[in-house]
Amino acid sequence: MRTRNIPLAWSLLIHDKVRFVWSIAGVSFAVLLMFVEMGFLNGVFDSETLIIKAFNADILMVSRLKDDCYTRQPFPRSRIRQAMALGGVEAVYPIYMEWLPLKVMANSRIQMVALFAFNTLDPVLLIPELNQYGAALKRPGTMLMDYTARKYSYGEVRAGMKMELRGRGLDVVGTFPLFANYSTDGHVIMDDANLLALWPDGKERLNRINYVDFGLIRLKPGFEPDAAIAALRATLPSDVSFLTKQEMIERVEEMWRRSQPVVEVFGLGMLIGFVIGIIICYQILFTGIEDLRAEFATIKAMGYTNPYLVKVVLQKGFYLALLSFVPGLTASVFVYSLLQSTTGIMMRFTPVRIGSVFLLTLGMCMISAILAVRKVLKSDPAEVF
Amino acid sequence: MESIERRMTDGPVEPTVRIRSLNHWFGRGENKKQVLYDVNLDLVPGEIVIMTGPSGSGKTTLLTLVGGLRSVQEGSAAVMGEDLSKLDTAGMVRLRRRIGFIFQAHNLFNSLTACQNVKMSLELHDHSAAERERRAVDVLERVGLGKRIHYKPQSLSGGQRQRVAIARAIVNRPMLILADEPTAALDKDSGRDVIDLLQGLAREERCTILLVTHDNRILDAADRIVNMVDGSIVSNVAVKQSIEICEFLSKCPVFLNNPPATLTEIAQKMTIERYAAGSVIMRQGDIGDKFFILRKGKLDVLVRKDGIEEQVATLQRGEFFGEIALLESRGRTATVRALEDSEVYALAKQDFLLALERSESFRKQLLDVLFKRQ
Repeated sequence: MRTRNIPLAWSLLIHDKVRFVWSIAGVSFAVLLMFVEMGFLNGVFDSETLIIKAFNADILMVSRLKDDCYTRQPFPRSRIRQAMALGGVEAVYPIYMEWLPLKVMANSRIQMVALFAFNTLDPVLLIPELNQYGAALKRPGTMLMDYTARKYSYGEVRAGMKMELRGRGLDVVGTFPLFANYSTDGHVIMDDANLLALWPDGKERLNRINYVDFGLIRLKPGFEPDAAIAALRATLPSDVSFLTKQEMIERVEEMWRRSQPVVEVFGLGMLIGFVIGIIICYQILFTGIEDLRAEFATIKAMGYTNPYLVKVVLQKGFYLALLSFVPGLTASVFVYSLLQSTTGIMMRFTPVRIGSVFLLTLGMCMISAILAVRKVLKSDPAEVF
Repeated sequence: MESIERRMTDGPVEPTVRIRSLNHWFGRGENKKQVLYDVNLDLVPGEIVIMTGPSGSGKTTLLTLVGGLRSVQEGSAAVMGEDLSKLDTAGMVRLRRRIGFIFQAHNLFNSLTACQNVKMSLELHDHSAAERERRAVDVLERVGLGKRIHYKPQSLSGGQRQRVAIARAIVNRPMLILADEPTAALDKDSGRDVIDLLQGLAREERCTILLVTHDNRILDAADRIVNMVDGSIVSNVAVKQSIEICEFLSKCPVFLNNPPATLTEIAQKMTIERYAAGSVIMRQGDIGDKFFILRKGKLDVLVRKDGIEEQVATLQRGEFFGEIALLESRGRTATVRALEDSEVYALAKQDFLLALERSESFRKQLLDVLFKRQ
């Protein structure tokens, strides 16, 4: 096997330092663009399903019609007791969900807010900050507020603030983090007794008490969710569905995909980033070939064949992808945290997302290389003379 | 040179390049244009052949055909024992790897060092990394760049870059080197260095060097000079002969005081013609198309007047004739016949007139001579 050690592709890439830096900057920009658009897209799904991930449950019981955590779709509270009766079920935590205008007394702003209410002594949400407030929230007129809630809706949220719901004053006894999203600008958590206290009497109060939005089912050790779900379905009326958290997340994501053009909008954004990347990368590779026409034709005359030249161009594209990805990712880390703090939308990296943008970057540069390489194939060594 | 001659007396030398009846066309259909006409050429080992001729004369096309960069269309061309018309693409590539190519521009990769550029050539063949390193360093030392092995082309002078390009072309010890204007971009001294280098190679490695050039400064390096015009080889002169012609020309009163460059140029355009005893070289009354110098033998000059042919002169070696008809565009004023087996150098009318136009003194002198003759 003939070995070739001259790093031609690498040397061609880095030879002109200024051009090299601009090349990397150009492709990095496309990488950043793809990351940001992907961040927005995932931000929708991530932030809309964050509450589900926080549910301390093996199985979720929701209304048959429920496909969104932020739309009220209650079911009879009696289902909670029915589920509890099933062997293998350790606990079922009911959650009330409510949309109410919240008045911030400090600045008199009034803005709709999403409320989640449950027995605060139960470990209902897997948010560590909540543990310390269980007892405090049992006091009448208390609530917790999400400190990452959008400032332009509520102003700065701090413990000790006074709020008003349905004309009743409440004290913010503490804060917790749960990102705002496209459904709500902020979250409020309170004890279910305090929520129901907002409807002191009458038919409405009864209605509120008897209908809940979520039932969080905890299984005893050794019981499989799949079997339990089958048993619950067999026993309980069909007005409720039983889902794992993952199934609920998928259901919500599916609803968003179906009802909102998020994939189209941000997907198009990613595509634009991808195409810009191809154009930039193609420009770099094409000029590289164009400037070295005589040199390439010369080595072709000497006896180098097209496969070698193709390899050089593809390699150059590969190095370009590799070297541009790192600064592109680094810039994205900064831009994500900037966007998260200004828009309140969750921007998260996961290995899969980083991996897919890397593959897109690689694909981008390879497509450019394949487009540019045609130029090299056409070069005729007889033209050097 | 000695070794070559010794080998040549040993027996017939297999030419490195043998071209027979080569015709070549560019374009297709109505735009089809013939660029080479019945080209025949042999290049033997150790020979430096310089190919000259105006641009568009087909030299470059011939060079690319010999180099396996174009496919032969008609005729035959054998290079280093390979019949080019029978080679497929892969065969052509294999052949090209055995040829050293040198171009007018050095065409080195600016991103690679001199050593790496040379290794580009070595990596076409099976060598260990250590062997490559050794050979690359050796060849760069040989071209006088031992101290600049790791320089990139941009930090080398024009002459040094061309020497790197030559090192790249010769590092695989090719038996055939094809060079296109290798000195055109160089100053006089650098050009000289390059030529000395090539001459050394031809001598020591016995490789054949085919050199296309317009550079008169390097003609003296040639063992043979091939002149092409309009796709045909119009002269293929061993330089020894060329020098002889120049000597004759410089002895002719007409060419006295002409710069050697002009003489060389004229000499290159002259071809040898052989005439057996008794045959007629030119006939009185015919339209003149050539100017002659007698190379070998004896010629009679005969003038027919009133039906009687009379011998007016006998021409000796080095004497010239045939110019009047060309100059005055009329019929030959005399008949010239070979007294014995003779050889003449002939110059076509077109070239003769061109030479005249070029040199005012030449024209003046010629008119003087004619005036004296009358």
